[in-house]
Amino acid sequence: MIRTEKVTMKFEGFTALNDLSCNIPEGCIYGMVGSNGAGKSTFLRILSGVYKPCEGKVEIDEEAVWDNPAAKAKIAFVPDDVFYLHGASMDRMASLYEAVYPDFDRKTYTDLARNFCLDTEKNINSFSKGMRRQASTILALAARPKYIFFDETFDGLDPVMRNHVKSVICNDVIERKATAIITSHSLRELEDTCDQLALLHKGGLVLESDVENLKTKQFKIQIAFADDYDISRFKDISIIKFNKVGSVSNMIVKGEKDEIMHKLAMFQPLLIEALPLSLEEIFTYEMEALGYSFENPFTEA
Amino acid sequence: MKIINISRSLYRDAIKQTKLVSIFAIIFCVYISIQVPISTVLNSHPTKSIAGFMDVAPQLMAVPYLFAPFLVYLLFNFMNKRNSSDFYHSLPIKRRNMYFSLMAAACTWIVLITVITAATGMVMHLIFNEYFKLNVAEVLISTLGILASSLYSAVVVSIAMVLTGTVFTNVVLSGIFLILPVIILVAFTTTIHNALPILTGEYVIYNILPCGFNFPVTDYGTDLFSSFGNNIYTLILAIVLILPAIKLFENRKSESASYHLQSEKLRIAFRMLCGAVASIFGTIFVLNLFLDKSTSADVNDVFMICTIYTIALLVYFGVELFMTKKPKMMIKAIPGLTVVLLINVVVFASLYGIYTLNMCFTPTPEEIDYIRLTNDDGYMGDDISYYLNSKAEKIKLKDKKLKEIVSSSLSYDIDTLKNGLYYEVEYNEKYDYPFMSSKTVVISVNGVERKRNIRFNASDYEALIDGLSNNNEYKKMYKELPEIGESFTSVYSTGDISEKKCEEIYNTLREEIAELDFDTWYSIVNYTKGAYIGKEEIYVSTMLDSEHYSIMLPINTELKDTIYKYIELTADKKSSDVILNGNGIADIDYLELTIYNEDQTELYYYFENTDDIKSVAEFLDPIDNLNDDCYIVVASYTSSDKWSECYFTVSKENLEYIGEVSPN
Repeated sequence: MIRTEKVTMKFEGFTALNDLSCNIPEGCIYGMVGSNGAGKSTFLRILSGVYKPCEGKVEIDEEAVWDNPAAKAKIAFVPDDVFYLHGASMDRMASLYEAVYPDFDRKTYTDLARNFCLDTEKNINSFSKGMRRQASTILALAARPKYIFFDETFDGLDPVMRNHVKSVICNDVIERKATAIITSHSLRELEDTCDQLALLHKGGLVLESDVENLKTKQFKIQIAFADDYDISRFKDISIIKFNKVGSVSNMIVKGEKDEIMHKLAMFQPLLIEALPLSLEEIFTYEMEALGYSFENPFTEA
Repeated sequence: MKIINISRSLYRDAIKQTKLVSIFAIIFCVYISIQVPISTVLNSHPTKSIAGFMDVAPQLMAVPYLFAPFLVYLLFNFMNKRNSSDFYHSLPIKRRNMYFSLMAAACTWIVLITVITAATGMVMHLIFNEYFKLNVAEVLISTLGILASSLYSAVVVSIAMVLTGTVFTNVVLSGIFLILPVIILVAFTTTIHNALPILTGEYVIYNILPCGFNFPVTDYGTDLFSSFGNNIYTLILAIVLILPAIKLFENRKSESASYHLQSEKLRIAFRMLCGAVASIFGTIFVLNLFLDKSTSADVNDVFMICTIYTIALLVYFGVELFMTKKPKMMIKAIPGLTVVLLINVVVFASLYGIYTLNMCFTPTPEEIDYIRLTNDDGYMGDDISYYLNSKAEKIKLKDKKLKEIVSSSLSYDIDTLKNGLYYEVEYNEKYDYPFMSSKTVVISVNGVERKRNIRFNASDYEALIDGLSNNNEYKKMYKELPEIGESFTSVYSTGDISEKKCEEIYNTLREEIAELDFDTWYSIVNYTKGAYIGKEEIYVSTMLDSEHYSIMLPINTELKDTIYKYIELTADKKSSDVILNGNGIADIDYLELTIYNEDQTELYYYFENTDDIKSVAEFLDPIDNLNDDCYIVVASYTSSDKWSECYFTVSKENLEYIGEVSPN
């Protein structure tokens, strides 16, 4: 389990992370979303032991990460800007990984490389950007770490390859009960991959929730009545947003769907329809409820 | 728990990373080690010479200054880029072990290049042993010096790279760490020595800190690596510096990659350091003017001072502008000038303090425990007197008269310095110029020794030298030459004489001078008695107090046993038979005789007529008859274009007849 407690990270007067606390359980795929400069990469680097936080505590399986090879051996980090040794091939990098990661598996490495059709003897620096990312992902997965972090890894991958990589990650997590953290600035990217989602904004954790929970517990209802009405008619229902145009209202509600539909049916509407919300819409409404404008996260509503 | 655990994979990878440049460097160095001796031999190398480190592998001087720093730069420059820095810091390797792994790779190549090059050079010189006498001890000590200095360079550059994050600041800070100590020390000591020529050598601060005591402060004029003690000091310094290097590396922030310096505080410190370094030279210039009593400052000097300080200001603000790229930061940097000013004030005050302290050292004869006469001003060559006088430096002279001479002469020199008249020697009656002499004297006061270069008039100087030569300990020491094998002592010839024969001759010499009276031996050593003979010179190679000496043996006509042994082992008997028995005299085209007579003058006679040669031959006796009533003759002759040399004696009474026969 990953646990952070009041982690703060500052760079020359700029606060990248501010008092961030979270618990990331084992065996999940944790998505972290936020705009540029929100602190996602910094957070991953702190978890990987690359950065030492200015304040706060970071523990992985109850062990501090900073300069702790035992803890770091459980972690593989795939950064946004990947690096390879000068003139190295994938095989040479694999040899290095094999030597430093105790659980590195050659067969996994070979299978993945074949799967992705990458030449393991060729100089990696001659690969395209996408291929370099694939190589980095392969090496990280072959290390069989307990925790694997991907920092905007899917950027630079074509849609087909993106889905392929996602499925490989998911299979790996399911198979080994590993924990993956994936950051992105696109919710759509993470929607169908992650179990948990967190929203980072200006160095702080604004929202964190189970994806399934988010999707099922919030939905949109379109309802129409013959007579005039307003929001007060629905006082027993938890409404996040209410918008009435003529006799038709659109409501974003939170709660058990069947129960809410039953309650609304009791009002004998002319029209009642439940529509699912996209994750982006859910996040937008949650943020607005918290006082943020998601379209422009740099501006508080 | 292991304190150091090198990551084998990282080490192997680091070796691979630096393989290309290292192998190229090794090949280059080995090529030079092979090519140079061959070239020397081919370019007519008629006499044997001693081959030291500067003959065997001088190219290794580049290792601590160029190769080692460059290797460390290659291995540690991952810290200059964000992605590479993050990669390395994400690896599950303890930072300390990462540092050791990378440094181990650098050291491996350093050791390989040094050992392979030195070994190759030594083997080549052994192969050509006809032309070279390899000074194994000196080569080994110097090789150790290269290794120690290279390790020091490597550690110091690694510290510079940990503190910085761009190539520019890597290079500047490395340069400051590597070169600044020696520049500053040379500047300081030169200033003091210019103001106080009574201090010995150029590189002394308060008689405690000579340059050359370790690599960081050694200048190029001294024997850089040939002192075992200095090399050990450098090695210890390098090992000690590893501790802060590790600490800094462990605390290195990966996020500071691509920033000139890790933090704002470091940037400020760096700016101040650059400003202080640039301005110190102005301060030294001012101090030089202040201390020089013989002249006063003029307009040119003032202009120079203003120029130097202006440059220092430009450096100070220029560094800030370069690192921040913000002109307004230069205004914020102004208060930092007070620190730079303070550093300069401290430097000025310290050097002036050292000057004053040294000027106050004027002990009375009663305060002096003893004096020792050094050989610092002696001719540094292959003269045996240089070696013997170096040995004599240990002798403590306590004679009251000598103490009085030293005390009064030192005080006088200091007075002339104070009055700015030190260099006006021509007008100084005390010195009786040009008969003035100077001597480096060690003066012990209350158990503390200080060296001073003191000027003496002729009589005082003579009294000093006589004081030494009348000392019983000196007399005993003067007649002692080291045994073969003791202190790496060996004997060799520049010609064709075998080592075994050289050793026999040397042992004979040692035994003879042990029985000889001191005055005769002293005269021989100082060229006031006897004559030196022998076409092929014999040298003794030995060590004394970690210094190497190569001494030419005095094959002197006063040393009868030695002369006899030398001629017995080296002379061509057949050549002498030609003249003694008359065989082949008819074929001799030219005969030249060099006769060493009792006036230490050499008489030369030549003969081109066969009849003359025949008649002269009658006056020559075999060398077996060497005694006090005859002189040694070295005969050289040509026959059928072949040149030969042989030895005879001629009785004192027959010398006159030879002169009558000779046409010259």
